[in-house]
Amino acid sequence: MPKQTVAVLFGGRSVEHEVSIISAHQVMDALEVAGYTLLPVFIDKAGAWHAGRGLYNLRQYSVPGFRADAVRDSHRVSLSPDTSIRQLVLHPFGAKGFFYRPPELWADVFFPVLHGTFGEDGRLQGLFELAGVPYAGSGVEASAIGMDKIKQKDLYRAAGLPVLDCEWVSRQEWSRAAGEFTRKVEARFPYPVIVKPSSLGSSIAVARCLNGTELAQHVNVAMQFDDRVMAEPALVNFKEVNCSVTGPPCEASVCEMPSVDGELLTFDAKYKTGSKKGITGMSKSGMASLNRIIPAPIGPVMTARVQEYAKQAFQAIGCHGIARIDFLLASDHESLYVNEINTMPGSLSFYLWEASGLRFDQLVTRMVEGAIDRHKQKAPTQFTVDVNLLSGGKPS
Amino acid sequence: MSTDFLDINGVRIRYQEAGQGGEVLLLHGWGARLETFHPLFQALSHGFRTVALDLPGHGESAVPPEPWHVSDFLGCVLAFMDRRNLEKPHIVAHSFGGRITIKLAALHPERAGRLLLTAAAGVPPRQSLRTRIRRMAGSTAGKLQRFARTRLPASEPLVRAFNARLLPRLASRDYLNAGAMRETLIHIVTEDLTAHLPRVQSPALLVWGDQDRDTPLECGRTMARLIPESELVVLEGAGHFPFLDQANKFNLLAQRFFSEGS
Repeated sequence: MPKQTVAVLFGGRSVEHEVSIISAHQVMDALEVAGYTLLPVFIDKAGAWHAGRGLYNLRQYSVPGFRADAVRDSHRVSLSPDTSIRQLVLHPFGAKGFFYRPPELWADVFFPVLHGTFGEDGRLQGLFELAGVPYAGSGVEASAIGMDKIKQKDLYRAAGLPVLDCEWVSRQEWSRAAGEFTRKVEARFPYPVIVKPSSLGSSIAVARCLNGTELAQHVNVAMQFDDRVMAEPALVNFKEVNCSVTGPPCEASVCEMPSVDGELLTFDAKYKTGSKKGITGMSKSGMASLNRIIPAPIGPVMTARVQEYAKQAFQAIGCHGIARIDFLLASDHESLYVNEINTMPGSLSFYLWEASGLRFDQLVTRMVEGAIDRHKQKAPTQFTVDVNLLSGGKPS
Repeated sequence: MSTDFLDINGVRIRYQEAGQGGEVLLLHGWGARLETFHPLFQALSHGFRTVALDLPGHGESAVPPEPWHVSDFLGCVLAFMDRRNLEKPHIVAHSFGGRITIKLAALHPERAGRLLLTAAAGVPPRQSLRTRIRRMAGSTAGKLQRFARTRLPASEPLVRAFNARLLPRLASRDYLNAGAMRETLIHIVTEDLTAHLPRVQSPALLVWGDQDRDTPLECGRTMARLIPESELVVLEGAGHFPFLDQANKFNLLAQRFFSEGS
């Protein structure tokens, strides 16, 4: 069987741009070991797409003033929504000239390793759907819901999963009547409360508030990152427990317990711990560098419960490929809440799968094969009818 | 993970062990110690009983009582394997560790599982004219020095001046840092193991960095040509320590290669 080519997309217009670069290089390492041919596709912070083998080199991204168009073997490209093209094409402003040799841009599968906005939130998946290309990971709806913590709670509740109650406010409402939201929150929950943007990952702008002043202050901060902000009761002395799921068919990994100083897992704790610092002072291992206990010391009964809830949460929002589901375990060691889902978890949670007996190269192979299967299953779906309504119902 | 010491024929050896499953033994390079393998050790210990040791004269292991040859290190490693119940482990060997491993696999095939040789030494690299001249000058100077010390005691200040000024320019970094292991190092680097390679029966994965200057890629190609069941993987941009330069990919290659043999 000929080697398949996988286009790995990373970077992106997101506050998690650098996290994505690290995760993608880990994924590309695994894909190469699994025997795939790589087509790295870097999306810069302005949203320009660059493709070429030269972009597969983690070190260059930490050089101040890095520019993808200055990289040797890097070409400006774009993906057309026209299904008859079905591959990356050279950008109209891309390098041209007598000696310019166009690169090979065919990819059998697209593998987005983008975290946060414009990559994990369904928008990029929408482009893949329009272009008619196979892609790894969750589809449009699951990706969009996975980024929306407010909508997620509704779906989890409907599926019978335990979640913490919340109040939320839009930017418009907040600027019109901030006090009203504060009163609503205070009427429902005692302080401390947690404030978070509805659709950001990596714990960005998540804060614990002890009074109304702090609440207003942190809602203002969160509003800079999102147009909807939520508040929920803060558990005291809780533990965070995470579990990854692949599928379909669903399979849950061992659980982990991130070990952090303080009560909230912050962006710094997630990405700036570890010994080897690279891109903007981040650990070169991304999420894999976080201090954690694997397997989580929660006993076999609670572990089985977390794994079962994780699979249900994965199915409730219709995920595909991989996800990491984060739980909060209250101090009574009994009350368990689904906190949130990551449809493109940092480092693809490979460290959880490695501890579950699935190597990273096997994990990415599973995701690529899953993408091809899903694409084949979609093929018989009819999106148009063979009748031209404008010509009186005659066949078109 | 546990760290302990063992007495092997009068030489105190430090070793580290973690994980369960198939056995993997890690043999480091000259001047290194078991910690050099830390990321790989961690990755392998998820699915394998992983054992690493400080070779004699390295890390916290004792210096051999007299200058050793590769075969002495091999004897020590075999005795260590017996003591730790490593019947036929897979082996990861870097640089000098590769010399021991090639000899082990060629002479004791019943004791060698799969071999992952990375930037392994044992095949003399083609030397540039400059390197050859430098080596020749170093070797001649060494002979003259020995002669002067034994026959012309009055020349001692001259010998000391030579060691201080010219030796650092002529000798390799390993030689300069070898201390009490200098004679051992000379025995080791002068032994050509090319003839052993066709006798290696174990499947071998050769992982080389294309930027390796100590054991250039050409050595890996020679080994791939001469070891019957071997495959060479070249890591772009990696140097003499591919398992540190590209740890993620290296660890995955190792996990995959050893899983296939379990």
